[in-house]
Amino acid sequence: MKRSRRIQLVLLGGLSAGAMAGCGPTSDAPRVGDADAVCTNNLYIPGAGYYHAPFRAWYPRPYNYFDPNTRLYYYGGQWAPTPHQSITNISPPTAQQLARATAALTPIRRGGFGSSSRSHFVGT
Amino acid sequence: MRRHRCQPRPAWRQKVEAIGLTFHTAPEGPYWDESACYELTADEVNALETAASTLHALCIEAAEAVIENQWWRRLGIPEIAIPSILRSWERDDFSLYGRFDFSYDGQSPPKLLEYNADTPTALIEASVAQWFWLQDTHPDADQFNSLHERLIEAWRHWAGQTIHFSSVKEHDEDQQTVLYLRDTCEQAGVLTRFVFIEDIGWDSERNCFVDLDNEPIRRCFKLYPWEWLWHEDFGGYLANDPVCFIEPAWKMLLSNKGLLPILWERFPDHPNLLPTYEQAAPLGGSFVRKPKLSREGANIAWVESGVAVEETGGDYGWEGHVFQAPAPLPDFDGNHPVFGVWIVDHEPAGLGIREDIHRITGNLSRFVPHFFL
Repeated sequence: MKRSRRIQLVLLGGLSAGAMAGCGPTSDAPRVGDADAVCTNNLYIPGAGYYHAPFRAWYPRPYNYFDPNTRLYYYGGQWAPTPHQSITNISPPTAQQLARATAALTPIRRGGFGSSSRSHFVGT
Repeated sequence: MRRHRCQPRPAWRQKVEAIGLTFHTAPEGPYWDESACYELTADEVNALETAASTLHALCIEAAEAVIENQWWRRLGIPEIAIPSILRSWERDDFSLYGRFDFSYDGQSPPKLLEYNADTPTALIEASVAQWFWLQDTHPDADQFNSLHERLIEAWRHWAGQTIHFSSVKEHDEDQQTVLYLRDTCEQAGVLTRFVFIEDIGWDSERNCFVDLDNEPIRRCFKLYPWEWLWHEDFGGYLANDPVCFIEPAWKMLLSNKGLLPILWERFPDHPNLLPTYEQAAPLGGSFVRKPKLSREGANIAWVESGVAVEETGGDYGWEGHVFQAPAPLPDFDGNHPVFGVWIVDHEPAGLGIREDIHRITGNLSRFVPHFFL
């Protein structure tokens, strides 16, 4: 006798969909830090960018960054022929921006595995 | 050995779906095919079982030769992987399973086509679906299939501990296969968690891989090839063995078709081996050309008298090829079966038969159940 005597399944079959659904993310939401946090101009956070205090957000270039080729200045996500004028050099980020920056600060990176599967079969 | 035409069970789709085989039909046609079955004799089953047991031992010996002679390039193994493979080998890291694919006609000895030792699939079909098919259709017959108990028994090695399971997203077959393995693992008293391969994170503060709850991944069953892991962005983090993977790194030596010429060198004229070389010349104009790392029958060419009479597409081949003498091709009403003998915890544990009207078995080849008397 080489065959199995009894096969009992606890996860497969009718429970499959539920079992897989139960494996999804449960706590990967960004951890929003101190709600009273304030940031100064050009505070750099890898993955988030440079903080622009008057706009309470992070952008890919420093505040009032000057591009010598176009002779334009960068602030608040836009280019302009003159630098931005503001007395605000420190401010609290918006809640959304703080969450984004906090997520960027996490020491955990994802997505480093799985790229090969997009062009190949996995099994043999 | 006989191939029977059968009447599929009423509501067979619902029956196989209920036990997890949700991928029974491909867009091109049926994958699980119970309109036919194979009847084997006990002697034929014994021949397959003995061949698998023998070849598993020979593969271990051949892998040892690779290590002793540092034949890494012959297998196309990247430099960065070598220390991990060596440590894994020395520790004799736990290996759960693998599947030998044989050509077999019931007359001459089974001939090894390849050893799927890292990410074998077609497991639910072999372990569960054909067992329930047997209960419904041939309840007094036997089947070469103790996979379910053997898997549970093997997992007891980790009883009381936690193992993560991982597969790629949007791939029903892989997810169901992993879910089945989790099922057997939990029945062995092991705690299991799941994370998709794409969602695995690297925590640079703790120097560990983490799941979506940021829990460290210490042990992980991965249905994902080692050679891909090493080449991807996180591959560098594997060098310090942060995870005990199942299958372990040393299985890279066995799952590589580059091992086939080494087997033939060390065990020439073994009755279960086909002549296999790293060049085509010793085989004249007739051979099967296989990439060392191809999966699901991709990029294989069947050449007769210098002409490719059959060839499959794919993205493999950059890693080099091996050239294997064509195996005897069993023919049952125009169908060519391949006999997949499963190894669990280093011992033969079951059989799954896939057949195709083409010479080359691919990802669309049909799974056909079997029994013996």
